[in-house]
Amino acid sequence: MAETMLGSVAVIGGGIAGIQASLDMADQGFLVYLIESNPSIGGRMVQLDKTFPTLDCAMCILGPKLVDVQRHPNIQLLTYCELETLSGTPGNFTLKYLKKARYVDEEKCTGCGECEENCPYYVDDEFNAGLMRKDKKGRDKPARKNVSIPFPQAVPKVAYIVPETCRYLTKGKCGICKKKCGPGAINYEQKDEEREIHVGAVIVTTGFDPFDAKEISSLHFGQYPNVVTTMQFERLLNASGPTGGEVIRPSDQKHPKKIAFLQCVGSRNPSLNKNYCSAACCMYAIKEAIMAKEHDPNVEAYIYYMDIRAFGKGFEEFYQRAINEFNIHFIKSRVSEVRENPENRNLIIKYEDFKGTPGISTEEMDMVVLSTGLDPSSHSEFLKERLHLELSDTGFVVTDPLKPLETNQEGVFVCGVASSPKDIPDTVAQASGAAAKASILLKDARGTEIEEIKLPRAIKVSPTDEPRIGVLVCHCGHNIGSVVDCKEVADYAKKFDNVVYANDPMYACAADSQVMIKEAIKEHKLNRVIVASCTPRTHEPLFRSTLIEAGLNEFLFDLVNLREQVSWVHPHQEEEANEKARDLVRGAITRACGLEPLFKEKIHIIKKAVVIGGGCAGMTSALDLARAGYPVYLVEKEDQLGGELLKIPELHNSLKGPEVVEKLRKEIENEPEISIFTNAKLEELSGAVGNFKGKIKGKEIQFGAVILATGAEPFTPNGYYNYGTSSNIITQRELDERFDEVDPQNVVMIQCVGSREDEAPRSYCSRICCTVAIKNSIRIKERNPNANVFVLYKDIRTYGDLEELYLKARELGTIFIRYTDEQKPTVDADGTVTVFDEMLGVNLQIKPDLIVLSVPLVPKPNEELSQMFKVPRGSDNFFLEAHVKLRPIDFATDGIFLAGTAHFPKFTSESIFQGSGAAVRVMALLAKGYILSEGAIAIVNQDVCRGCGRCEEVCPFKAIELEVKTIKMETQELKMVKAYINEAVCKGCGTCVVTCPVSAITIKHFPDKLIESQFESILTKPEFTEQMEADMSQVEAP
Amino acid sequence: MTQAETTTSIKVFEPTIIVFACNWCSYAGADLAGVSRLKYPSNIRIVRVMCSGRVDPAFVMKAFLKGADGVMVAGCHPGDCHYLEGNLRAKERIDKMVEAMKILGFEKDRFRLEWISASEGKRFAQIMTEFTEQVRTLGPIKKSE
Repeated sequence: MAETMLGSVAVIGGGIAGIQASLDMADQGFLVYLIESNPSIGGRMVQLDKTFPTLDCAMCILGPKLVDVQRHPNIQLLTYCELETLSGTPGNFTLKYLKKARYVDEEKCTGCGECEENCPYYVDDEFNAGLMRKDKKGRDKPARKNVSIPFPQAVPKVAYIVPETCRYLTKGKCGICKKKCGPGAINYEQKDEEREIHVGAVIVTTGFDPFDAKEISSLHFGQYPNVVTTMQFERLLNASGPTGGEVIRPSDQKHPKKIAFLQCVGSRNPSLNKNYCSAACCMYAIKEAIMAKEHDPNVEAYIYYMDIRAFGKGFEEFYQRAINEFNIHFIKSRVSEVRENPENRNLIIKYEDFKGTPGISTEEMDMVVLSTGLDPSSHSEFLKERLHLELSDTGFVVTDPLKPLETNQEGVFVCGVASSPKDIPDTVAQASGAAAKASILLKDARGTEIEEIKLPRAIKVSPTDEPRIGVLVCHCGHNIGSVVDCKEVADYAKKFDNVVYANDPMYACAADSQVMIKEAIKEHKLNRVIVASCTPRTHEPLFRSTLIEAGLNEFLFDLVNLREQVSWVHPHQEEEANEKARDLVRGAITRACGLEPLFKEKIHIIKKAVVIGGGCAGMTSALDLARAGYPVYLVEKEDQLGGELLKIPELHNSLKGPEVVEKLRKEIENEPEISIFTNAKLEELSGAVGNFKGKIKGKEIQFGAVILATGAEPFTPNGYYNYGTSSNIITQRELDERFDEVDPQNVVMIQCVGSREDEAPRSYCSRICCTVAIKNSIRIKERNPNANVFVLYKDIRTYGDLEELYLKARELGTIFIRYTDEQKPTVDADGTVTVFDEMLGVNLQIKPDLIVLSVPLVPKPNEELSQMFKVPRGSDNFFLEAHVKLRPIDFATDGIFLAGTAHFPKFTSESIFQGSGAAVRVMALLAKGYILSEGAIAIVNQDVCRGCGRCEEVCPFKAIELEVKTIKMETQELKMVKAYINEAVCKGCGTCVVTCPVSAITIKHFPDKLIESQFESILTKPEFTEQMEADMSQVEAP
Repeated sequence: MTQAETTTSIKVFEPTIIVFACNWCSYAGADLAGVSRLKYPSNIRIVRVMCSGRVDPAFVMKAFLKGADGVMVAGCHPGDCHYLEGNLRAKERIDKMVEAMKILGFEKDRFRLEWISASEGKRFAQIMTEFTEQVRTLGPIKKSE
């Protein structure tokens, strides 16, 4: 271990994993160097149009995070930098990197795009997956100029030149960009520079590259123009893509009506040394097929698949919607060849239909989309050579199932797709987990390399000051600008007396716009800011931070929603949309005049945590928190720690459940910061984030945050396949437990028993059961190779590396028979199993001596905790996180987090990284020692309050109490009852305000007068719009 | 004047409708309608409040007096309220207000209370379309109402 421990970390890779890990480290007070080889951070997620299964716009949810990273005082962005070498010891590494020449001065570039506009040369556009764009003369050109800004929301928003194809840099000719660049940022003399930094730890988040579909020659990608990849299809769907969101065929610009998606291109393919399943492709193909139909309802979408792997939270339901609501066609088959019809450039696909028609079938399609797999990033070779990390045969970083975030190099951690293919929520949870591990290593050096944030002196704004309002009307590229005349709306805003500044930026959320806002505040002495752009639900925090940085109180801000609630919903009604935009902006201007600065109180918090549930997720959370220096109360309702793992003698990775528990338990017992409570539960909860109070076994405790890790257990399949009528019909868990007692010759395993076949709450896929069945089939076959094992399944969902187990089981002779919901297997009273084999087209009858049912995991009783902490559960009864994609381990309520199978079924290693992830979320909250109260809370005017107590009755958070006040008069003391509001607990809902019969309560930021003035203003068109008034008077009743 | 010209010169009445939408469910539902690109009439003007329980029945009456042709209060479904039961309080108060509206001679069809969740973008668009048509049929609000 290093003598001098450094309080800094290098995060290698600026995709969503790197972004999450950086934020989790930086929030605690570590200095973060975020190194990205591309010119902007954002990774693969920024290329996506939507995300499954909620169809959130990828950029909309990621955009604010990009800006969070950029504005974080503890994060230094090193973009367009390539890792060179790492030396030193854990706690004190020296990392050398190459800062590649952009030929653009980062300090001077404003991101205006003038260089790009004027550059006459084009280069392949990797961001748009190589798609072409029509130029002004209608010719196909790559979608990127030789000098360009990576994409509109790029961070940093700085141009770069591709040197290999630049006319000036190669031939000394052209030089147009330099002439056109106003700020003089173009610098052809720039050179690559070697630099070095010193860090305590390294987190590797190098992600993936999409598989190069040209490697499979029979699919003719790159030859036939109408064969595209899923990444290209994302860009075709995307409104800011090269076609402006129109799905068109590259060959003739026509809208394809028949689209085929071919799954497993570059995955599950041993001949390419890609045995693994890429884990995300089934879902993104379904998403793209749905989006294609949303764009054009006449599209027929066909998905050719081997197994639909919808194993994550909400995935199976999404798949079912694709079938039932969107009529996407699913065909179980692997397409062997794509041919082109030279007459119309349609594509003829050849495949073997597993159902019905024997032999090879063909089908003609307008477009073919290849679901390309996730290859380890091209940088993974660097990881081996320069960081000396151990890589698997397939190129992913090797980790231990019990240490899924650690590499063979101490002090170097890994997360995201760098270690195995995975989707975004797992990547985010892992990134938090990796941050936890780095935080533990560097805990003693936390805060040593950062400087206190120095906020500019606050601009004093008193209610009597004349309002000086700045209004920004955002184009959001074409999102708003194509419907609303943003410049006209900005000009309209200027007509109001108190509006002293108005502008219409292309992207109000972009980093350069933040600078512009800050400058406008200074230059025009603004004391109110209005941004008319998108929804405040995602973007208000960003703009508020900008105000804070400018010294203006963050509550002197309002957002008008012109995108989600105007341009996107009234696309072909420009006149009406513009009128609505003007009305809403006018309402906001009126409201803004009455806004007052509010101050958030610093609330001291208790730097202790409670973890509820002593399974592997909870134990991991507790250990990580304790090792990072936070005392933990670990509460387990059973008489010992361990949870479900205790009941699984052998896991799919050959680990022994009880041994895993024993190891963790010993570590916990050696950790003085952990107080273990078994046979216990948390009771009498009160308080809120930072200051909870409760009782465990009568002992009163106080804590600042809590992790719910209450776990899940197998469903009892009473009534399914004669379960319970014979000792030969058991569940997989019962087989786990009795494995040494049974020695069956013929075994039938039935998958999806009680899940994927019922309505909610058990309509979900339980994620692990395929692997569990395969594990047990392998164990049976390895013990007795002559035993027959039949697995009756709907889809085999062995995602990622688990695919290897599936291959192994098949090699060992396990027989897999697919059944459908229409023809489910049956079990007779004498134990005969009948199943329709769709490949053979016959009913098979098997008389096994053991029937094993694969049942889903269902959440352990969690209703009481859900009510106690006021946190929601989903329709599947698992706890419901704040956001399925980007906040997988947070609840919407502050200070409460979740981990493990309480969230959704998952494997041990997944519970472990989630447990670590939840731990770092707690660390980031507790590290500072204080939190800030909500500013917009209710206050009581005690002079008016008559103490009736109705507010106390209606307050859902118990924030209001009646207190007795003694007032001394000359000769006597008067006792009066008054309402009192606890600032830390009030959430600002305002129901007490409406309840108060004497109007003694008001709510900051949303007082009556502001709400009323806003809607009155919307309803009252002012005089200077004479023309509009005249128009209105012509209106006749029908 | 030809018949075609006559038809185009008669404009349909375009009502102005104020919707008080709670931040957590209905406002998010409206956002989802946008993200899903679902169209609905542009007559809707949304005023964001943190909770439907924040909406004072007096706001509704004042909106009518200031010329709104229709007013809606939209909150979370019962059981979904971010503030637990603000929506139920809203309903208690608003039911009373609707009774008062009848007595005062307001057309009660100019007002609606709706529960729309964050995932119901489609429903948001549907309800807005329906309500706009309903108010359109009633014609402009009279100052005497």
